[in-house]
Amino acid sequence: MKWLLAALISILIVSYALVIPTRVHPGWQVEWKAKACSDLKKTVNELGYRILLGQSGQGELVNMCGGEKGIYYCVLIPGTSPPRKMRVGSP
Amino acid sequence: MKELVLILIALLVASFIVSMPRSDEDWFLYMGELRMYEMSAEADTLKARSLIFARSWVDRWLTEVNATACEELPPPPNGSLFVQLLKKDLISKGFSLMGDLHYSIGESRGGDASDPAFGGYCRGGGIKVIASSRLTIRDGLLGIKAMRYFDAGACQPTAYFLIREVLTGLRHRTVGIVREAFSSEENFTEALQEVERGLTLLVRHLRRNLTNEGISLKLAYTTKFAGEEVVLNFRAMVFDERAIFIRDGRLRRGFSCIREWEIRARGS
Repeated sequence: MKWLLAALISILIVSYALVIPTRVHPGWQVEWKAKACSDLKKTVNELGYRILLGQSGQGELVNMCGGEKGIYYCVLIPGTSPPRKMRVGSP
Repeated sequence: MKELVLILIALLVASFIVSMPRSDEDWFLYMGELRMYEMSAEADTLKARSLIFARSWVDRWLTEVNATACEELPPPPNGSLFVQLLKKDLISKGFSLMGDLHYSIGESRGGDASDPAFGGYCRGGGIKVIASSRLTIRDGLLGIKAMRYFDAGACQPTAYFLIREVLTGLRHRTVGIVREAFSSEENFTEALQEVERGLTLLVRHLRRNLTNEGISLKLAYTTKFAGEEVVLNFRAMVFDERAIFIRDGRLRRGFSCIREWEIRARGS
């Protein structure tokens, strides 16, 4: 019981101490979002026309991009029908 | 008891980090940096996206004209539509797009380079697309802009121009053969035999040239008499087994054009 309690509280601390500050400290967000942007560039340029075949590499083809808070970035892919967006990162 | 104290200390440290005040200066610096990355993602994918759009446009058109007479020329992709779609998306992100994207279409030659974002390869008689961009993305808030001026060439490997040329030439040649046979022979039967001989030679000659390109040709015709005239109905089918195009999100192989025409002849 003591170990279970300790484990649960540890998880709480870890999530509190690590996850929440990333929403607060913009420097970390920038670093993660910058990586998402860079991965997105690589994905779109490498896949090229294969996106029309439904391939998305490390990204995901979506209809809507989502909110502004996530660590991700999307670009519109004209030519897909209906026009869809390539998203890299987690919303 | 000792664990509880440690937990409380950890919680205290965590809450200190979370509630740490940030400076506005840092915040704007970070946001500015982030906008630069976002703008770079938009600008550095413009070339690939313009070619994906072109591929989608050309392949959709090929899907529409597959198994038809193939008389018209391929229409160039609509650059204004591309810009319009992108503008709408960029406005929602706080960017603006200026400039234009122009496409042109022509016949490809074998051995030319094709941009990998478009896919395909250059083949004699195929479709060549050139995208010319003079686009600029601007962030009005931060005053930064990214200009992307490029000319990218790519080829759709379906030998549409070659097939179209073969069919147009075939029609003209058959008219010549029929006219010549009926002007030199008085007898209908002999004239038709002359037509048959001429067509066999013509088709053999064309097939010899087309086989190397992976293209097959079939020509059939029927004859009927209408008063003093002979009516010859021709049907030609050209099939390109090396053609590749995207339809409904899948790669399709093989493209054909079927053209029918009629020639009327009168004995001399």
